[in-house]
Parts: sequence; structure tokens; C-alpha cells
Amino acid sequence: MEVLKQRVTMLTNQEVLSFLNSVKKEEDSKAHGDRCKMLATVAYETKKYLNASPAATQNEAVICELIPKLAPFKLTGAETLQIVNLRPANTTDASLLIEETEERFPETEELEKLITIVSECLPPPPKR
Amino acid sequence: MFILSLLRDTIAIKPHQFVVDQQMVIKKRLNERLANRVVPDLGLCICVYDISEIGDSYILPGEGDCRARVTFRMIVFRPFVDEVIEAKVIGSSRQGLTLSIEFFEDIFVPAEKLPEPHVFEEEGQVWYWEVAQEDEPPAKLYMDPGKIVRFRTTEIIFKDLKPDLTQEEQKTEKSMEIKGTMASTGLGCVGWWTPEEDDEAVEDEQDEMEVAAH
Repeated sequence: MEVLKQRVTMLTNQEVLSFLNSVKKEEDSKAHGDRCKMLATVAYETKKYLNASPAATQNEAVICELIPKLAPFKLTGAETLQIVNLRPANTTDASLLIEETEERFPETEELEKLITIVSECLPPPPKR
Repeated sequence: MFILSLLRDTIAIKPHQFVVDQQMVIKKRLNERLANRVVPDLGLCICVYDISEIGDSYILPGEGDCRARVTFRMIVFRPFVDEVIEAKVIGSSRQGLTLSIEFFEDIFVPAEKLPEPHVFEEEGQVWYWEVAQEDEPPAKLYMDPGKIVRFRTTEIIFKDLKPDLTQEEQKTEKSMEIKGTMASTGLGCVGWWTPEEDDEAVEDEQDEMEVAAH
């Protein structure tokens, strides 16, 4: 087997979760002999993890709504991905995900504005 | 956390499978071969995402299998360096903490990367973070197994393992290991940094101390 391109793109946790849900449906409709055991294990465990994360309550629409709203903050792709995946609820969380926060966000209000936008767009994560 | 990788592999389809949908058979064969497996220098394969191209099929002399070169995209777990991930503590020792994210359990935070100053409690084999407080003895914030913590990825180590490992080697050798750090503001147990849960954390500490006293 050869690796043609290591990273075509990155996926958000929500995308992976919804894809695995559709795979599960497909697998369930098959006869027992046609199912793939290894896939069932990893899909179950990955879903278990993701269902306890903020990805469980998100959907494509809310993420698409959030991305353009984050544009004025000039975040990198990786930072945006992290914000979607972890949904920071306070400034400490956000500065953890954004590199050189102090230089890029000299005013705390800016960072608070970002938190407000994220909290408005993305639904709260499931309770543990 | 997850990426899409473009891979190519040669797949053999058995004659009795010719009748069923070719895409479905190929997906199944690829998942059987790759799902839940680590590809060196790539990551942990989760599931085939889609098939981009099925090359010309050919049959080798003397057998009935039909072989095709398939180009496909795979969902792969491969965190990037500096990525922050939430995980559960599953192991604690003098060397550090072992973390789990359900589908992957080879995450290790070495002792020197725990929040400073950290203390190891021999009794119970747990780590705690000693936080200085005004007019009070320092608070002990425990990182015991079962707690949800946040860590920052510092390194991903791949190791090509030989297939003939003894049982003992299988336990210690890992084909993919993630090294992380918790020594930074915002990292560590998730409850430490949210203001409204602070009280809860303190209560938790008190409970633990009471238990220890009994």
C-alpha cells in the first residue's frame, strides 16, 4: 500500500461523527457475514468519544454559520478547527487554542467577543 | 484530530464476489485490512471515506481472483503538534500519566510535563498539583484515574514493530504513541479553569481528604 498524499484535508469532529453514524446505518442494513468486525470496533469507540464531546450537539449548518463570523479575527485554519472541536467557553480556553494570544488580541474585549460569537453559534456540549 | 489521506492499494476480489456491487466489496476489503490499524508515519486508520478511482482489473494466470489498483480516501486519526485534546486519565505512575480517548490509549504525559509544582503521592499512586493559596495551606488538585483532562500534543512517535513479539513486548511496545504536556494555563483537569465549577472541585478535594482521614 502506498500513501499518495498524507493530508488531503482536515476534518472536524462533527464531520467524522456524522460520517460514522451513516456508516453504522449502512453496516446495520447488511447481512451479518458482510459486516466488517474491525470497523465496528473502531467506529463504536470513536463514536463513544465524540458523543461526549461538543461535536455531539453540532451539525453542518451551525459550523457553516460560524466560520464566516470568525473571519474578522484572522485565525489560522488549525485554530478555527480547534475552536469548532473544543468550543471554548471562556477566555482561558480560547487563549489556549490561539497562538500568541496576547499580541494578536491585545484587548480582552476582542477575545470576549469571539467567545460570545462561538457560544451563540455552537450549541452547548452534552453534560458529562 | 482527524485528517483525510489519499492512499492506493491493490485489492483482490474473489470470483464469488463478482456478483455484488464492486464498490461495496472494495470498501469492505479495505476496511478489513486497515480499519483500527496504525499505518507507520501516517496515523490510526478509522474508516474508508470514499473511493476515488478503481484502476483496470486484471487476472493473474492460474487463479480466479480479480485484482484492481484502487485509489481511496481514508479517515485517519493523527493529531497535529500543538493540538489540544480532551482525554481521560486511565493510568498513573511515577513516570507520568497515561491517557485514553476511547479509541486510542497510547497517550503519555511524562511527570516533568505535569503542572508545576506537581507531587506524587505514593499512597494511592496519584499525582496532584499543589496550588499556593493566600492564608491557607496549598490546595491539592488531584489528577487521579477517571478524571477528564486536557493536554497539548508535543510529539507523535511511530515505531515499526516486528510481527513476532512476545506477549510482554506487546504490552510495552507501541506502534504509535502520542506524547503530551499539561504544563500550561488552561491545561490539566477541565474543572480547574471554569469559574463556576471551582467550588465543586474544592468540595471534591475536601471529600477526598475526608476519605483519606478515615
